Amino acid sequence: MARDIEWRKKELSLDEVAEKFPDVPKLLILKIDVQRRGVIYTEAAQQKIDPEIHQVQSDGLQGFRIEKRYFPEGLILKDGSYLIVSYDYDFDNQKRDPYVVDVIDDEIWITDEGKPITQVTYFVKPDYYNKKASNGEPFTKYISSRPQRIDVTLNQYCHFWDRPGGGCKYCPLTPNYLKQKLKEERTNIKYVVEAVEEALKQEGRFSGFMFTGGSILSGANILDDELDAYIELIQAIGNLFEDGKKFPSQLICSAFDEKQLERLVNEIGLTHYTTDIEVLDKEKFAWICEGKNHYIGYDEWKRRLIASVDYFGKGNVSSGMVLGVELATPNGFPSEEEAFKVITNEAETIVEHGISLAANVWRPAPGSIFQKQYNPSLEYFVRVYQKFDELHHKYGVGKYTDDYRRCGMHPGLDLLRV
Amino acid sequence: MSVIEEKLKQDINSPASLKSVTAVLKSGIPHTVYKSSLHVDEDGNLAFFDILESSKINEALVYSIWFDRYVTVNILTEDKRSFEIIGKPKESITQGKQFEEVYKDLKHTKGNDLNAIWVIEPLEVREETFTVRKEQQERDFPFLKHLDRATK
Repeated sequence: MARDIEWRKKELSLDEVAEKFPDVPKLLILKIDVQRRGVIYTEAAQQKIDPEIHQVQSDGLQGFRIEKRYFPEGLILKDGSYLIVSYDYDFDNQKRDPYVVDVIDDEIWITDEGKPITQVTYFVKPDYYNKKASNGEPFTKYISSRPQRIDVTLNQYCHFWDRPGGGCKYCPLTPNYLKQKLKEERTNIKYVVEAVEEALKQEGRFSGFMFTGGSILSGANILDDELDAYIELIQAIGNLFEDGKKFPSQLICSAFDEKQLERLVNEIGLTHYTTDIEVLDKEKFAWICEGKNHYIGYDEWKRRLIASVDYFGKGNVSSGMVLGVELATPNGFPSEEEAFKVITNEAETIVEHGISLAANVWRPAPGSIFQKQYNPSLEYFVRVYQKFDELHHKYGVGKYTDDYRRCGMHPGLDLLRV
Repeated sequence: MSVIEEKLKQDINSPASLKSVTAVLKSGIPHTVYKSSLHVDEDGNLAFFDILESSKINEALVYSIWFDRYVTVNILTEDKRSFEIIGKPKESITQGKQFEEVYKDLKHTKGNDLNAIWVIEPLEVREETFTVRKEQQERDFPFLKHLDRATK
């Protein structure tokens, strides 16, 4: 779809949305909108990127970015929060203009239509980035990082894509992985441990781990092989910490059943469990996440998510979702109003168990099946995030995982800071 | 140029001074904490080290920076002069080289962690030392006194 040159006339602007929602900080609304509309960098802003200092995304394997030039993986805002921007702006398919990162008086600013909005800085890369494992490979092959979190990806390929039509329609990761003709490969735990050991030498840099990967459906029971692989990986990392102690860590994985959850909570030092329900409606889930629906189903995924609270405790479970994708065409909700009603009602049936909703802003990503779609209005996102926050405060969810400083990908959770 | 003069800067940076930060929470309740780490940084701003990530002052300062609210810093010097500095939170530093330097110092000298370095831009300084304020009132409002104090 071509750019809609009239798009600004058809929806509320950042200032208008901020005026309409005075209880939501404008800085947060901006973060949502940057993720919604995307961001590009002027030549001057690119000149400010020093690959020797800044954490830049140049690795096509990451899946969200095909662009090979150096761009920052994220921006740091004045409230100490992070904004993940490790994705390409899709010039061919976006109907809205992106925000522009520019240089004003030698400082880096997010701008729109030439007007400065807020000053930012670029992520600084961790010390381990320049170092190599004992096999000569860079540590960055085995772990990645946010400003305060070490991320470990077990495997890049998701087996829901094995069946035609089974992959989640918003997801660019496995499609881009396959386009690069990469072979399925699990990470090498020996070198992950080496990388983590090196990363932990940097005092004050990291405050937690995030483990994730593509779904693995095989095993005596479905997902048993995925469970075994995570236990082996997280056990190896756990050996770096005090014996038998939990360490700050989050696993984002498929929805394990009770027997599998019991192993997960008893055999490793994991503190936080996340399984992503993605879309808060049974019918939309079945269409958008066809593979998840085929193998496990919405009701069972939700039941397992809620059951996991019995194992990890209230406040130590969350579920990711791709906010806005429920309005994708042709089978999504016909209006933002209807979508708001349905998903916020459904949200309460999950949050009431002490589970937080870590909702990403849906941005039709290059390579995904939904690449050519439009995401909803800024007003919709802000309205939903505000309602989710009301539920999060009402039911008392955990607020120190997937947050503004460990993740930076879920702007709605920033509201738990106050 | 900072509104904080050199003498006051020395007092603020002195470990013998008592220093507090007050900000209002989302609930509307003011919250005050004493911060021995409060100092004037090289840019003339006020800065302190917030140790606990779950601190109420962190919540109140986040709320203040989000909604452009004033905060106050109060100083009581060793010789009992007192000052109120009105300002606005300018930045919360939660990562980077400066953060790591402070973190390492706190870890190795006091065994503490670090949540954030909070930077507050000072906008106005008011001296609240009692003798100074008393003199001001008697000069500016000579009739603000009980009658029995004015009789012959």
